[in-house]
Amino acid sequence: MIRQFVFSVVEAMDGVKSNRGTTLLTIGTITVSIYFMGFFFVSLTNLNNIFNSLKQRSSLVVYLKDNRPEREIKDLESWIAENKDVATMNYISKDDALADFKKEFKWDESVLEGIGHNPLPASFVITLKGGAKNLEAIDGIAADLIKFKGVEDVEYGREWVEQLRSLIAIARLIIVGVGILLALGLLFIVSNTISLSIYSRLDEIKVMKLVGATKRFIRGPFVVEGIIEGIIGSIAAMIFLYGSYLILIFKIPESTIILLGLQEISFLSRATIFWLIASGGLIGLIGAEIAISKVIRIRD
Amino acid sequence: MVNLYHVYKRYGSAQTLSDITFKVDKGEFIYITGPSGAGKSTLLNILFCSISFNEGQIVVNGKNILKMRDSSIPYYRRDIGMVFQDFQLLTHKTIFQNIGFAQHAVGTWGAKAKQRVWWKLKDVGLTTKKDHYPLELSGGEQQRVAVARALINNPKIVMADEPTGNLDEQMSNQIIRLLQKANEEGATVLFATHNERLIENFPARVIRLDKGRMVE
Repeated sequence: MIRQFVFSVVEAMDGVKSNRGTTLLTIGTITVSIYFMGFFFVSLTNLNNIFNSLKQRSSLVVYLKDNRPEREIKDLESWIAENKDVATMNYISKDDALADFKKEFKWDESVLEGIGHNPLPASFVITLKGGAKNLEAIDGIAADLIKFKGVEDVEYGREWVEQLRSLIAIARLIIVGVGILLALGLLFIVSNTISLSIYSRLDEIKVMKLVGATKRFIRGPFVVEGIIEGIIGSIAAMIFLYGSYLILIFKIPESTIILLGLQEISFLSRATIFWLIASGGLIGLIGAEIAISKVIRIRD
Repeated sequence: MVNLYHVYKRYGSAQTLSDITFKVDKGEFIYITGPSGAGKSTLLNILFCSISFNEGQIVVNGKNILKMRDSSIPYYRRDIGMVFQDFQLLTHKTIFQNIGFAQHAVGTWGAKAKQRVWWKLKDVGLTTKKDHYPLELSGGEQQRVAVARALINNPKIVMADEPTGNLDEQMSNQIIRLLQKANEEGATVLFATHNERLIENFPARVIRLDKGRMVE
């Protein structure tokens, strides 16, 4: 078994050397396809990171009705303080809110002109503990808070968080769809280029059949060749992708990265790199199997 | 060893073999002869399971080849050594590797395989050229390599399809002697040739075909 495998590897290397043109074509095709798959994965990883970062930074703002009794605010404050999911709580009075507003719009004081009173409500700004940062938990807390008499509204940017989540779900679907299309296209091209390699070695196959080689023995070198080309192609794709990644992070200003709430633009995890390389090998293997089953018939 | 009963083979409307019936016993040496287009090669290719036939029954070495599964054919072929007019050697492999290749294909590896290749090369008188490539050898030498490859797995049957077609008389005699030796060692030999002189010089039972029919 091991000897047959070694034989297949040696024969496959012979095939690679003697069919450089088709080998390069196969490797190149795999490289381009895996590169794009990797590119989509990098995009998805970073979209996920942005989503998580925004979720981490998200907070609940509880707007209070004006002129409510002190007791109602105290009740609300103690409920918030005692809630096990709350990490921090900050009370912003109407005056503080106005001061913040003025500070923020100091370049355009006309915004408040003509308004005789302070229109801004007092509020509590709440951040939640890690475990409570999923949307369902935030929904629950918001629902409890809105029941308090003194609460005017609870705002936590649910809409855009959901939009972002939908966007990521769509991106995932696109990646899966594009991935499947790329894989099918790759299989077609790889099986055809390996067919060329098989046709150029038909004399060898004929001799193998002549001396009683089984189909498994005959296909061995071609399958190994497909796997080798698949793995080399995907390793090349990872190298090019990493090069593109380095260029990209050099070009994107740090301020943009911070604005997106990221510490850095992430590359693929080691596990993803491994699986992409393995899938390149797998595509090579399946492509070779398809090619062989098209070309080799034992009864001839 | 080889039994054919009323075998017919057609290519479209052309009848290549008609009502072929004969029996070859174990250890026999027979010639299949006839002019070009008589059906000699077709007959051998049918026996080797390279092509199918339309009617009749063929039993080789106790196996009905009509009922044989595709997966059994490689194992069936291991009992048959095949030699062709055009040698069919791998030009990018040395002659040692060419013969060794036949060993690997049937799962024989290592020192045992090398030793067997060496002995077979010695039998055909080519040990000194073991590292040569086929195209560096004469036609006769190449055919001796092909014979060595056909015999390396000790087949029960040897089929030779015009093995001397491209060779001069002296080379042809060398090849037939090698096959006679294999026959003396127990192999049944089916030798297709149109060379009447060869048959006269090395007489044996003859099956003569003409236009796809047995005439002798």
